[in-house]
Amino acid sequence: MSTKPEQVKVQFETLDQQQSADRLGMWIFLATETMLFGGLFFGYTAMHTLHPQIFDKASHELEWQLEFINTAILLTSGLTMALAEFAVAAKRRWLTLFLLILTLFFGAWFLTAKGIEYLDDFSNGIVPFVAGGYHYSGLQPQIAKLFFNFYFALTGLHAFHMSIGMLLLMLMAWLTFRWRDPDKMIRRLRIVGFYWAFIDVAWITIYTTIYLVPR
Amino acid sequence: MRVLPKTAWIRMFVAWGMMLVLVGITVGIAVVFPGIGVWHSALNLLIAGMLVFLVMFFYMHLESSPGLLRMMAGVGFFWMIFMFTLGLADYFSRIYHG
Repeated sequence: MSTKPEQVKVQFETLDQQQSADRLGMWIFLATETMLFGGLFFGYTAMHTLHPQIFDKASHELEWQLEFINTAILLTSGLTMALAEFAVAAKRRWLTLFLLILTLFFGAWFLTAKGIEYLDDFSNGIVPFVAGGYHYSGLQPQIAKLFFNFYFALTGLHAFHMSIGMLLLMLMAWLTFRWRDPDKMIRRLRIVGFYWAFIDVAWITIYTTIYLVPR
Repeated sequence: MRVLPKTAWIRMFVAWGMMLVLVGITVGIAVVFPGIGVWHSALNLLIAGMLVFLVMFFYMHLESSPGLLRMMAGVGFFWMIFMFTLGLADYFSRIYHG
């Protein structure tokens, strides 16, 4: 009778099979996340189709320059995360930890810049859901409100996902620091890496549709 | 200590560089040439598609994933395209017929 490694769960034959199941499960989860963002994107696209000029004018209130830098930062965080996955696979504990901390730093940078943009939005009077936060003087303020609601819903949902991603990265950094079970870390980091890359995918779509297309 | 896969690292850096160049191009199209009208939107969306592909292919390791995972990665997008096509067909036809 063949013996399985200790880390292979009872329902699997081999570690490879278990890893494939882990990854397939994560992809299924990410497909549901795609539908979550997709519903919002569809609502936004439909409203943009109905009110193109108003949405385009409202979009000019947003800070595309700040988010251009933010996009580059987020893509760089995706790179450091992918490299961390390589590093852990090579059993390089401190390099993995360094790359994870770098990813966390870029993530924190992104969220801080997003927070600064939100503060700026408030002072510009384009926050519809805060008392006294909305005094937009452009074209059709009531319809423009729709644009700003979609903008905050999409970027807010993205920031929420990023915050969860940051918590997961902190946990991974802690587990890497402890370095109890490197083989398990390889699997864990790959799953968290999928999630972090999905955040990149969501942001690329948000930046293109909200900030660039209406310009 | 195992050896780091150098070619994989180089590939990842090349992919990252390509992504940054594409972001620069898409911003350039939107900001420098907004006068090209509907083409700038189409180009922005096309480049976004390329960026998403690069992220999925390299950062999400689809380049080295089995067919089942690649299919699963496409399924979410397939259903989203389905939703957009049916939904927008409704909106466009309503506008069209006044």
